[in-house]
Amino acid sequence: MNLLAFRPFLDPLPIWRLPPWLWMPCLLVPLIIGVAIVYKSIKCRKMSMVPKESAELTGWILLFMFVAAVVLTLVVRGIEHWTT
Amino acid sequence: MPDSATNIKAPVTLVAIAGWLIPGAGYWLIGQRHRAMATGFAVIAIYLAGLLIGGVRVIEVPGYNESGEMVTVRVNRVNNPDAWVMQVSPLQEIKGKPWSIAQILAGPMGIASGAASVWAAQPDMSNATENAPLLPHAKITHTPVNEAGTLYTAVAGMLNLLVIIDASHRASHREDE
Repeated sequence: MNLLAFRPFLDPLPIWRLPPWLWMPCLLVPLIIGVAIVYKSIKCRKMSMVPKESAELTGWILLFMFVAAVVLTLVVRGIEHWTT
Repeated sequence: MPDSATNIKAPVTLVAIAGWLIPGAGYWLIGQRHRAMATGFAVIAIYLAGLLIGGVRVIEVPGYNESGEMVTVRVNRVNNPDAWVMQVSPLQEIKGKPWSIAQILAGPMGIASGAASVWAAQPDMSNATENAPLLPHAKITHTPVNEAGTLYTAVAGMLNLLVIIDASHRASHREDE
């Protein structure tokens, strides 16, 4: 038996085989898409609007998360700069 | 298939229970089948993605420890010295594993994956040898992958709660009309 073989649903996904900078996008994007689909399925009056609206919402969430990450990075760098 | 405008009536309680049993089934009962399929598939997909990412052991079941054994506490030294913690102080135990509340909202798949998690935590006797220590069926990981898996399963449960509330609300308004 190969002890290192990946067993789906039993072993954690071997995401460490990917470069570390890809970990968060790979884990984040599917969740954001799922949340956007469910949210827009609840909110939209007509279901034909859901694909476009949820794609837009996914984009906005990603954009705001990116902006938040940049702002927080700048805040941390600023604190580091002024305290050293 | 009927969608946003339907005349199908269903009791609110039945809509809520069906929505918990099968994500999206509440909408199905009131005739909003496209909405039922979109929400149901999304909730189930997010939950299964969580189990795939972190492994089934991301589900921490209250009342069971990391080895899949029932957690017991000493209540009375004379009669029944050890009792299951869920019989003695269930709220305290659940408070230590708050994600389980959200995960159980995903429906019976939350209970089934909890049972699978307890099984996976127990020692695998098929690989037992004299010198080697007993290993569980599946190991728990303490990496960001575990956190992501926990987050996915909990978010799926919370989204299902939203879906249940919305379907029940729509069912109640339809009854009023």
